[in-house]
Amino acid sequence: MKNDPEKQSDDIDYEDLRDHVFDGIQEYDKKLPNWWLMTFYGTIVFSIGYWFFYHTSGVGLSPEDKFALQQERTAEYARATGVEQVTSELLFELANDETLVAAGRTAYASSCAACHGPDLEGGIGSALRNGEWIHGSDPMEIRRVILDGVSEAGMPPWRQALGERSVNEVTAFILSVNPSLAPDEGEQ
Amino acid sequence: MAAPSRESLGTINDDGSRAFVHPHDVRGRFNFVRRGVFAVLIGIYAILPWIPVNGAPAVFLDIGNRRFHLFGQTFVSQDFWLVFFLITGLAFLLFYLTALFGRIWCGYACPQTVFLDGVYRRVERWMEGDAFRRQRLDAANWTGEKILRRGGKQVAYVLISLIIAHLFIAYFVSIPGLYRMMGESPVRNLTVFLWVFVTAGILYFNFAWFREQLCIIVCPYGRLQSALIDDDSIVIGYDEKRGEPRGRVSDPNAGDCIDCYRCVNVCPTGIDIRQGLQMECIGCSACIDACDDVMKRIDRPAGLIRYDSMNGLAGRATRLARPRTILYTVLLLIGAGVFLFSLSQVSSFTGSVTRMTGAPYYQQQDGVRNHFHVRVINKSKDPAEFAIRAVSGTEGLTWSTPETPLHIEPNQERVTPLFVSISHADYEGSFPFEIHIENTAAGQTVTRRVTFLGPDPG
Repeated sequence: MKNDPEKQSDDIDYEDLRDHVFDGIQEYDKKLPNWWLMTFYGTIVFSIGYWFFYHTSGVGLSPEDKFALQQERTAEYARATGVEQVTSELLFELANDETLVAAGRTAYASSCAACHGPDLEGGIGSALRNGEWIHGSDPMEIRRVILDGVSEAGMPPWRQALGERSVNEVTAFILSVNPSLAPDEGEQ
Repeated sequence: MAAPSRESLGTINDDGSRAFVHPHDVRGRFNFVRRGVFAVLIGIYAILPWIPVNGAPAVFLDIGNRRFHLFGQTFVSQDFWLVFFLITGLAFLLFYLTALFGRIWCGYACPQTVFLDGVYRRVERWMEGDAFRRQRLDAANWTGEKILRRGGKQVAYVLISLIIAHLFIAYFVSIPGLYRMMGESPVRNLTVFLWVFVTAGILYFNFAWFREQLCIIVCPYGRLQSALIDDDSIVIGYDEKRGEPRGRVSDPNAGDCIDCYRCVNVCPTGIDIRQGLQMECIGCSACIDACDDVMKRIDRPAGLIRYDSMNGLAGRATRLARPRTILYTVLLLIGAGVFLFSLSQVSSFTGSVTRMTGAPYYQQQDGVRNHFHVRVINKSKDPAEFAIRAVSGTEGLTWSTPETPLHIEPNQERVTPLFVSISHADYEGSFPFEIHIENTAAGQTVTRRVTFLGPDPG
């Protein structure tokens, strides 16, 4: 066997044999491969650069900073696209945009029609074209009901499932098939 | 290079610098087989992304879209649990082969060996000459010829590494995707671009310089060898009884080994196989071919170094069927059986059910209602329609979905609400029920068990 002392030849240099013995096994104190040492020193050099880049210079952003930056960008985008500043007027405007209404119709068919009926005639949920608006007839109130739901009436919140943009489109679709909701000056 | 010793690593000098191995050329039956295997494996590697099966490449791991196309079958991220079988199965297969035949994986099929011996060393041999020439080139001054040969080799290495890296990335972005990206600005596909060049860089470093250090120092498989093999496993060994004592051909008292050092010179990891089985041995069989050749020249029987078990080399019988291999075979069959059964359960679509956000249940005059989201992924290459049903032993359960049947385009997914309700008269507290998602054309059904929630009936 490898560690059988009797079989060890004489040309071995025992100077770097270390003292400790475990179960008759001893170890040499050989030099590590240089490439291996380079990886070790490399990590030290890298850590200096890392420390400088992320913790000292302020150039590199920590995950928290990146997250905050991204949130800020999202908020800015929302402001720019009007998601934040939805008003009744804006929703009426959206109701005249055919592509938005079409998108709203698709979302309605896949998410709302099961309860409110494919033609908004109602079912499990209340009808959406009979002129009765239990939770308010203002576009912003309709939008709020879709976003946050009405738990006592069994209307689930759709903020997460659809997203605000899609909810705006669904609202626009509902407005488009209920011309009676439009303000007087809109009826020309 | 000093004579290999079992007391220290042959490829690292005493000062820690690298002792670069220049294995000598070798010819023989095992080398012939190896080259054939290399050609087949490289061919498979190169061709897989090009063969269309069922409308997708034979292997296309579309990470961007979470669609994994393997030989005509498409998997989605929801099928990821099958990877358990793939990884444990491959590892177990490797252990099984090792118990039977030692490290034939390393010598014949490991990508490290396949590309190093099958491609990079061949280029080196072609551009720099045989081992003697390469050693002389190592020692030579930087003359024009050395710059030309060494530089030429490195340029070839870089090109080969880039080709292999591009093929590698094609497994993830497909050949048409790769071709399109190659025509666009790198900034548009920065991630893929970086992956190609980092992969090529790693390949170049590994095959141009690092080489056997990966097998000896980095790869854990060689280190596991002592636990994976036993005295009946087939390994590459030197017949000490026949070979010792070493001596000249003319010496009648000497054994068959004439100490010609051919086996040491051809070894790609710089060991002396005559010192017994060692961790560094990657089972490449170069020493077998080298020794057989020498034995033939001096009219002695081949096989002084051969594939044999430790028992066989000691003159005893080798037992192929032994508790370890029998147990491994049984375990392998069980594992393969379970894997095949699991694969057969993978359907052409995936369906999952989650409770909708909001209140857990809704109470109204007409009854109690639960809301669910049903997510269906059509994994086939054709559009499909799905029927969703709520099935229960409880009387009076009704359900509705906005779209019946649910139509889904190929490789698309859709989420649909599902409303399940029961009248107050039939309601007697929470109960479990099943949601069946049926692919109406294929007749396959996925079943999800959920609980109908409601108020305490009191």
